[in-house]
Amino acid sequence: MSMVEPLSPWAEGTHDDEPLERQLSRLFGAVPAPQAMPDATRQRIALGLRTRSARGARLMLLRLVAVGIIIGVAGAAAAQWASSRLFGSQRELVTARSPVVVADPPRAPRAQALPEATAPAIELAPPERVASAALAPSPAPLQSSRLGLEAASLEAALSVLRAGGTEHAARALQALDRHLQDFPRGALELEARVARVDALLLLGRRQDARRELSALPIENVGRKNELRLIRAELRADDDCRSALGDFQVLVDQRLPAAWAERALFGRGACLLKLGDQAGAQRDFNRYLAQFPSGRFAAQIRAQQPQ
Amino acid sequence: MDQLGATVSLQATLDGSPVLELDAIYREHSAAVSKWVRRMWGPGGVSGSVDAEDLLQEVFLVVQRRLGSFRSEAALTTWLYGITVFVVNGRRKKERWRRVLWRRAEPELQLEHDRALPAVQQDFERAEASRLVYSVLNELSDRDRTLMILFELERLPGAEVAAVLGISEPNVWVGLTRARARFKKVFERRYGDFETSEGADHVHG
Repeated sequence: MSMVEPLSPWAEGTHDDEPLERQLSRLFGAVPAPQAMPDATRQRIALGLRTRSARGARLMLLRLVAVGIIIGVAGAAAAQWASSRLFGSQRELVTARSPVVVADPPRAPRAQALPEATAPAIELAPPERVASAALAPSPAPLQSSRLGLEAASLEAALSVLRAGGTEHAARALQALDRHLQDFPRGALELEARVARVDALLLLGRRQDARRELSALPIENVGRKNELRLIRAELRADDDCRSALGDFQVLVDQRLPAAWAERALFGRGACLLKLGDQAGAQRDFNRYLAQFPSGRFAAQIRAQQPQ
Repeated sequence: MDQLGATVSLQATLDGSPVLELDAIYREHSAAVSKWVRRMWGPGGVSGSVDAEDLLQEVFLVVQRRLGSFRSEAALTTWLYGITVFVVNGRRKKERWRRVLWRRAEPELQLEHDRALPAVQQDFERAEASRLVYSVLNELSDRDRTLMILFELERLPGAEVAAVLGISEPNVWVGLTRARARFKKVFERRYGDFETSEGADHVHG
């Protein structure tokens, strides 16, 4: 039982000696006192209060969840964007300066299904380089946040990958696997998985690289055209039908010459493998017209009917 | 005015510790709060969408949210009064913005429906006094208006006004002096000379 201290009415003497106060007293004294709401009304309000408070609690919870999701998604997107800008731009920049050729180029689509006379011994172009291996050292990331720690961990793995070579690639792969375990669903997860593809390619593990690449949402990655090209070339090993889709997308785009050359040649080779000799011939002719001294030009000319 | 507050049981026990319960507070204080709401809001001056029932419910929703922060050294009634002032003034601000946004004219003051103020219906002069006073109060700032209502209409002591508004007592007196002067000024602009005006006198006929 608690005693609630009542508010006492004003009883601090009269001020009626002042004309203003006297008039105010008369005026305000004539204002009727409000009546309390009837019990029935207050009971109805009490009922509404319970309903509203329950609904309010649910709404508040929903709002909190929604705000959390929005903040999380926005934060992840921003981090991803920032990281793709940071790592992606460095890759592009350094790749152009110091290309690193993949140790084990992808095999050509098998031409045995084609008639002997028309099946050219053309090999698919190998990926020119493993982009991550050409990464320049990036500035030391901030380590005061989880994202900073994640970036530092990925940077450590990438620095090993940059060194190139099978041995470094193996160590980089281990580091990347550890990183993905340490930061599952991290903001830089995509970057780590892309680097993993690079490491697998350097190790010659084409099937693993292909599996990893197939599971990647490459549309969300800064290097999407490059990755699409690599994926197409890997698929061309034994699935030219799906590889054609990627090659087609690439051929229809404005790409750097080195990629455009590979995409056009890859499409021609896959068409040939699938039996579309006319289509293949058109692509090869187009290739020779656009890239007369391209890396595959000699091979194509050697296979051209005399 | 009614004596505010009462010696009531507002506590339940949770793990041996007394806790305030919203249901009990509502049961014991909703009648008084409904009067305060009407007093603070006045007989009209708002859009028809706002009524005392809405405000009463809003007051207790705030009470529910803030129960955890209630400090027992303050009188519960003072705390409730403070929340009522906060809710009513907040709603008045919203209504003002709504009027600006929708270019609504200030509605004519209207008395509440019969059930709310039966006495007013029966007494034209008292109804007129209410209309007159609130027409002037509604032109004052929220602070002046609240001070005048709490002190002049509710007749709360200065110390209690200070507690409700969370200001010092000297500030109450200073504020009240200014509010009265402004009230007089507005009154005279609307109805003529305050001290000798028929506006004040005609209330008592």
